[in-house]
Amino acid sequence: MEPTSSTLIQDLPPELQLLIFDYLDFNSRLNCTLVCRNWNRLAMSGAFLNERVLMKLEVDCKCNQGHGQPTRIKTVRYIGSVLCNSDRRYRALTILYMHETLPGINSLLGILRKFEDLTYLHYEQRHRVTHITLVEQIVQYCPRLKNLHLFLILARCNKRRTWDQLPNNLEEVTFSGVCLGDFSTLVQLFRNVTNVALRCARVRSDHLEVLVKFMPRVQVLKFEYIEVTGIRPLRLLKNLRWLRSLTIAHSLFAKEFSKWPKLPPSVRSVTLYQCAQVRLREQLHERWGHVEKFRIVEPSERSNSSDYEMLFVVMWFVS
Amino acid sequence: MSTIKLETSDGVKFTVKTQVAKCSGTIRTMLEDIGINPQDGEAIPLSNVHSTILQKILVWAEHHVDDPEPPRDDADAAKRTDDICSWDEDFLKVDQRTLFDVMLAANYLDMKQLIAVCCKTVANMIKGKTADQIRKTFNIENDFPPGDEDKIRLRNQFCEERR
Repeated sequence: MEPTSSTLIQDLPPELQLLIFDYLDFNSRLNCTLVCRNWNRLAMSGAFLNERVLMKLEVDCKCNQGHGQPTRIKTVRYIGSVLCNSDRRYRALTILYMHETLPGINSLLGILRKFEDLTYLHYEQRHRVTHITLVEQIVQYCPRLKNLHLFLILARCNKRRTWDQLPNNLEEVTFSGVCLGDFSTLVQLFRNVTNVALRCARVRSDHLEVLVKFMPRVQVLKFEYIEVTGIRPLRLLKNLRWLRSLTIAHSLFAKEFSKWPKLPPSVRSVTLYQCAQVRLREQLHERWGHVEKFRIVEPSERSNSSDYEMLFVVMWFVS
Repeated sequence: MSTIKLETSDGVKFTVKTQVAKCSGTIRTMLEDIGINPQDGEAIPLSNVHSTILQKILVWAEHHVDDPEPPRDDADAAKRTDDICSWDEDFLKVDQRTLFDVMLAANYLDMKQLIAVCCKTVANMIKGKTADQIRKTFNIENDFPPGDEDKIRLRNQFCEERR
C-alpha cells in the first residue's frame, strides 16, 4: 500500500477500529458513539453490547439486513439469555429498533417477564409503526415500572378502544419521536400518570388538547426539544388544574413567551432551560406571580449546572 | 543465521533475519505451511506494504524478536492501555498517517502484538476527549443529521457509568 497523504482512522478496516474501541473504558466508548454515524454503529456493536451494556437490548434491523427474520429473533433471545442468566438484577432496560413480528414480540415479553425489578424502560422504534397494543403489553409485563420512555416514529392502533386500568406504579412517561401518531389512543393508556414529558416532537394544538383531556392529573410537565407552531396551543395548559411544575428546555417556541397566557394557579415552579434568548424575567414573573420557584437558564450560560441533568431519571442496576 | 528477502509494494527488497520476519504471522504461514523456500533467494512479495512502513515495522520486530509469547487474551479482562513500554511509546511517536499505515500493514502481516500496541496508542488519544475533540483530533466529519447527536447524547446519559 502506498502511504498516501490521507490515511485516516476511518480508512482502517472495521475490525481494527473495533479493536481500538475494545481498549476504551465504558464512558469513552459511549462518547465515540457521538463522533460520526459510522462510529455510532461500530462502537455500539460487538461484545460491548453483551458484556457492558447489559441493560441495553439493541436489535438494529439495519444491521441484520440480509439475514432474514430468524436471526433477529435469535439475537433477541441471545441477548435475553445473557441478561437473564446474569446474577445482576437490572432496573433499567433500553430496547432499540425491535423487530415487531409476533415471535420477536414474544421473545421480548419473555425477557421482560424476568425483569421484575425493572423501573425504567426506554422503548425506541424509529423504523416502523408501533402498535399501541404492544406498548400496553410491555407496561403490563413490568409491574414495577416507574419511568417509561417511548421513542416512537409513529404509534398506531387498529381500532380505537378504551384501555383497562393498567395495574402499575407508572409515575413518569416521556413521549418522544418525530411524529406522535395516534396520540389520543396512546395517551389514554397513561391516564393516571402524573409526570409527563414531550420530547423531540412536533406538537400541534390537538396533541395538547388530547393531553389535557385524557391526562388531567398531570402535575409535572416537561417540554424538551420540541417545536410548537404558534403559541396558541399552550393556552390549553391553563386547564391542567393539578400542574405544579413546568419545564421547557431547548424548545423553539419559547421566544414567544411574552405572549404566554396565564398558567394554572397550582403551578409552583417554572424552569426555562436553554430556550431562545429570554430576557423577560420580570415580565414573566409578573404574569405568573403565583410561581414560587422561577428559573431561566439562557443559552449563553454554561450547561454545567446540574439542573438540566436532573431532568433525566438515571436508573442503575441493583448490585 | 538464515535470512529471507521481502519485496515491498514499491519494489524495494529487504534482507531480513528469518526469525525477525517470523514475527509476522503471514510470513510465518508462508514459510511453514505453504512451504516457500527462503533459500531460493526469491523475495516474498508484500504487495500491501510500502517500503517506508516495512522499514519501520522491521525496526519494531527486531526489538521485540525475543519477546515471550503473550498470554492468551482473556476476552473478558478489562484491557489496559497504560502498559505500553517506553520503547514502543517512542517508536509510535509518529504522525497519524504513519501510525495508521503501520496498523494497516501490521494487520496485513498479522502481527498481533504490534496491532495491540497501536490500538492502545490510538485508544489513549481518544480517552478523556469530548466527541468534538475526537473529531478534531482525527479529522472526522460530523455526518449526523441535525438533532441526531442530541438524541444519542440523551440516550447515552442513561447508560453512562457513574463515577
